[in-house]
Amino acid sequence: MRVNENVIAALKKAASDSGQPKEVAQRLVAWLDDLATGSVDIASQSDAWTRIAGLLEQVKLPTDEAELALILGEE
Amino acid sequence: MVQVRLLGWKAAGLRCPDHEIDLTRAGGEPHHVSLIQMPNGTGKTTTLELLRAALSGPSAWPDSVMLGEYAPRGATGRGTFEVRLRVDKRRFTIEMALDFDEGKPYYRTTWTSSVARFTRPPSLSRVLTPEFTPFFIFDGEMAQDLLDPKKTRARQALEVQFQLSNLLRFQGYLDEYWDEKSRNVSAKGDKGLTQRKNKLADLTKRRDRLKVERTGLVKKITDLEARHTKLDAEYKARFDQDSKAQEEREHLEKEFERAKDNLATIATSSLSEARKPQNLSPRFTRGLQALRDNLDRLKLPESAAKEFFDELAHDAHCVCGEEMTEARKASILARRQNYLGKEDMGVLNAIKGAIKDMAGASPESYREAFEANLLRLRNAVRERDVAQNELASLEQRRLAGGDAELSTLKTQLDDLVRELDTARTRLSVLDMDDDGDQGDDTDSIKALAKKIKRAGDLVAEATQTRDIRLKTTILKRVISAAVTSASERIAQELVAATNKRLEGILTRSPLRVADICDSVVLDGQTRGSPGQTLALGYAFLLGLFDAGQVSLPFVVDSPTGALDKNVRREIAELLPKISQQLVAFTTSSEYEQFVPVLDRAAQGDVQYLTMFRLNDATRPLLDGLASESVALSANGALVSSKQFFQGFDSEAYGESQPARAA
Repeated sequence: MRVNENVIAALKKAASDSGQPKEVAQRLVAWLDDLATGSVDIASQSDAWTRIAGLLEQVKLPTDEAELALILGEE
Repeated sequence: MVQVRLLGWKAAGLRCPDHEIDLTRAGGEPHHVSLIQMPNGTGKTTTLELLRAALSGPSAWPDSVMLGEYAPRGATGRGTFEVRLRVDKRRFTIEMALDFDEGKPYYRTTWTSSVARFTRPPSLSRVLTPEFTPFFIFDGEMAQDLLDPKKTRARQALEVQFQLSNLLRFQGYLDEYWDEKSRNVSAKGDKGLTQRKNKLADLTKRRDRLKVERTGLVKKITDLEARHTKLDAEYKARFDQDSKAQEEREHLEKEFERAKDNLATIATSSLSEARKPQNLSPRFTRGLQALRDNLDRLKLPESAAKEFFDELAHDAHCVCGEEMTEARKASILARRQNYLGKEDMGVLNAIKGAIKDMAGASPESYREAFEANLLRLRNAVRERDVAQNELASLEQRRLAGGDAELSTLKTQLDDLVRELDTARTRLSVLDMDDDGDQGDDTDSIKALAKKIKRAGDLVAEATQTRDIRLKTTILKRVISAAVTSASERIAQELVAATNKRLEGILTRSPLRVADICDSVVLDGQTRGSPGQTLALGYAFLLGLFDAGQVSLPFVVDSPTGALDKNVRREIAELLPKISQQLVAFTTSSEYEQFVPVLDRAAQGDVQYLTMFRLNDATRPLLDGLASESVALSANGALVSSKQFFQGFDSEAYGESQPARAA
């Protein structure tokens, strides 16, 4: 693993604090690791979108409508 | 950790003397430390800047004026600078050509293949940039920038080295992903979704109401029909109490039924005949006949018909019944070719045959026959109307006879028929296939079903779009929180490590770092002396490179330039630890209290190079040197010798540096 342990810990905590499954942080770390090893290029949009599509499948939405409205209000 | 090593570089046709530096030992591994001593004006700064530009790519060159500063005095044409690197175990070469006439840089890079542009190994894409290369191709100016609150150098370096910049780029990709997915969607927000949901609910509610109405209508029609049957029977029973009227009614009803059946038969036949063009106008018939005449003369498909002629010629009799003589047989075989055509002749023959059968007679005859048919239709209509009128007339006469109960029954029956008609008309509206595009207020249940399907699709689309937006927003929130948290933790660790090192270096004039915000924030003071600043820069970079994910070479110009001699020792001990490869451009004034200590700190793995311009003053220096330790170019000399390095007085051979544009 070529990703700094502080970054890994921060991603895990941020995902957990947002009520997201650990797979969200794992996928982000895997993406960083692949970039660090050079197996993918940060400039590759097609790779980025494939990974984002996979990430979105892991993201859990809150069931509370008020919370959903709050999230949308952030944008 | 990705290992990046600088193997060497080569310069030609530039402001510095032409030269080639090889930083490797015999086995191909680079020295831990390479010291390149150069008199002032020989091109230390130029070489350092060329290294930065080569490693940063074309965006390092903002304009042609800047590029022109690297041309030798009065020279035109091209200068070239080639850098050789090793990334993990693979070679990476950057060739940079500066065209002084065009004022443009040209790059060629060789990684997996050689391409005429600047490309980087993917693992180095965030470090080989104009923003980051100054952190490992370092000078005193960069050390100053680390403390400048107007510049975000320190935080930027931290974000790049620890991949936080990649996480921030992910956020950019999330925005781009959302933009792409919602590009063709009109309802992107919660409001749009609510509107679509409301419309779907309204349409569904309307459809459900109409379905209930239809169920009621069907039941009502069934009831009305039953009542109609019963009432009609009662009415007829009352009507038939007059036996003469009964007899006449039954007769007229039979006539009426017969007339209706006759009309239906003739109407069906007339409709069928009306579809034939020859019946509509003689002009159509003449056109069809002209088409038939203009087609090829009738022929038979060859494959099927040839056999027929062969067999016929060998038969005892011809198809006409005459005896098959030798002359006839010969004639059939000789002339059969005239009647044989290609396979598709069959289709043309079929068309010709159909025209002949359907429209082969006199053109006027078809229209005349159709007119006669229409006349029969008109007569059938008249006959039915007469029968109906006679029935109505009989009923009127019977009702006028003063039978009050019959009149009451008749009134009830008429009301029932009207009610039945109204219900049937309404049912037909509800069952319409096409509502003529009446919009959402349509009463057609089928049309509403289509609208509900479409509205459902739009709700699904808006829901999916909203979900993508929600999820990308959540992900961006996760990333932002992680970047902030990781950045803080890494900064704290970096502050602690930097302070620990500074304590060992600046024993007489201590300096402490309080925080790393955009820049490095000092504890209790806003700036340090030039020596303190340089020491801080080294201590910070040591921490940065120590914990980062890419091991980079560290190239520095005048590593102790501004430092007190007392501090030089500490710096000399620190520098080899910053990187596994240190390349330093020095002058002889930096030797004392620095080079010997550095040599010990690097455990003797130090390469000593001395480079100077070739002129009348320097040429005698080459006398007595072993030829293998000297590399000469048209305008410079490079000596690989520790002894020569130690004895070289670079200040004695320095040249005044020409003024450069700001």
